[in-house]
Amino acid sequence: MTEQVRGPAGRDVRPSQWERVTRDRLIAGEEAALTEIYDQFSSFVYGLALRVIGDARAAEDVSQDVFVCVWERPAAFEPDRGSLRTWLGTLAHRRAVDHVRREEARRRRALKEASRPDTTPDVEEMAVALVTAERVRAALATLPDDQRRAIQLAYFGGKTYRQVAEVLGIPEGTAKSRLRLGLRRIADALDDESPDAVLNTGRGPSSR
Amino acid sequence: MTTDDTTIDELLGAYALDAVEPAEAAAVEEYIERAPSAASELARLRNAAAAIGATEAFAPPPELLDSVLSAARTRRPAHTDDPFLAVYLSETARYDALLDTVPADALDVLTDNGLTVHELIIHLAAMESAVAAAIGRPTAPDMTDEDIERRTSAFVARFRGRPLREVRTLWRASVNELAQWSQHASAGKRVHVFGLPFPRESNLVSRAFETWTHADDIRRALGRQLSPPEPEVLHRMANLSVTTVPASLEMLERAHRGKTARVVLTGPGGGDWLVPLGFSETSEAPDVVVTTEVVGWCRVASERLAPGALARHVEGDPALADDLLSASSAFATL
Repeated sequence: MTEQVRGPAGRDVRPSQWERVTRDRLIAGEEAALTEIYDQFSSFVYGLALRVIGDARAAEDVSQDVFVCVWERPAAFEPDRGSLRTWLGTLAHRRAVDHVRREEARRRRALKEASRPDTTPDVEEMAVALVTAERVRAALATLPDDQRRAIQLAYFGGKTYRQVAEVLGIPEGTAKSRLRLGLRRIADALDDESPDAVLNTGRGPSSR
Repeated sequence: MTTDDTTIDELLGAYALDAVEPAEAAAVEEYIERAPSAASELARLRNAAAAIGATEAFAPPPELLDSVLSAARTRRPAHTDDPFLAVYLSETARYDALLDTVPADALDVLTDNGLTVHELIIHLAAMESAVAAAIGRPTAPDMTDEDIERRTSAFVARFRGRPLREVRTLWRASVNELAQWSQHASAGKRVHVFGLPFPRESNLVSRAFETWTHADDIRRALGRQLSPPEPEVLHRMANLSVTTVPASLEMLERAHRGKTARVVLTGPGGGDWLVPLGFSETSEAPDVVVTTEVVGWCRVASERLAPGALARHVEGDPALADDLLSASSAFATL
């Protein structure tokens, strides 16, 4: 693996001209720029929200919220700190996880009242969930099982590292380090090849 | 790295996956502000997390786009070809983004004009809502005082102990009202704000000017780098402050009728103006030529830099140059 040149805030890839121009157009209030971002990233944002929440209606709400947020505060996207896709992914994932945790809290209260036992998610089902982006799929596949499971429980299952530890029956410190080591490996795999193909968009080529 | 920092550092992976408790998230966010290597690693980990997320891409139902666009329009108006409205939209967007980055514990920091950061944010909402009321679209109907200081005090009394988002919501609603009104108002339509009749265009530029000025007040209070507007925006602000000089000099009773100044503002967004020093004709042969940098000129105009502290080159009568500079601020911002 080669050492990457990084910007001051740790970005691996130089911001694309498209990202900078699009940000400026959004700030200027150009609606077409929002439509372009939507065209490029709506499948990414919606797919991620849907995977985490598992409910189409709620995933639509989260997606709408993300793109409206992009429109309302475009300057909050800082190209030097990371790609547009990473920013959108962060916005979408946070909202999706918040939704799941709110629902869980609600369900727990309901379950408590009905005094039924809590359920744990099907870890195996998550581990075999289909992944579609080639390189990341390959990278995920080369992760040790324990790291992959931890990441999938946390990222797609909306679990905190404490809950991950509980589900997997491991100490919290171990859960923390598995999450970090696993993510680092994915990051390394992304560094190893030309980053632009996979880093800039949720799907397809990004030139437009 | 302290023991505490080591504990926080171990959370980076979980944090990048949003798999931490809110209190832990706050600790990580505080940590990465002062640990560049951690910020760098977090950027990589977040990027990896998003790449994992992208493996689940799935097209949303086609009608979602329309719903996104109509929701977006209610939050922030779309651009028109009108350059004056663009100036206003640009500066309000930058200010809004700045507020997103103000930490809660910075709200009590004092700014140069004696208000805390929180109070200054409230002050600007008070001003914007006064403009909204002036165009017949009140956003705070029960707050009717138009006097700037009294209005600010009343707003501070109402919003100081409240979460910041409340006053931001009022500010945003007021901005949207002015933007929507401006999209439909005819060119030159007057707005009576704070006792002065502003043409629609000057009002937009003046509001943008004040917004930028207070954004920089906040940056200064937080020890951040000041951030001038884009050149086109800066040019409109400079133009407003130069073209209001004759009226300002008359108001200050320092007019030099019959005299003309040439103002040369350098740097991106600058320009070159001939301006009469009172209500009189413009002469093609100026009595004084003042050359200075456009951002500095605008800071004098917004009373953030003393006229005497502005580096400039003067050809001709220096007394005329001094009066010109002192008059630049009277109408540019309120």
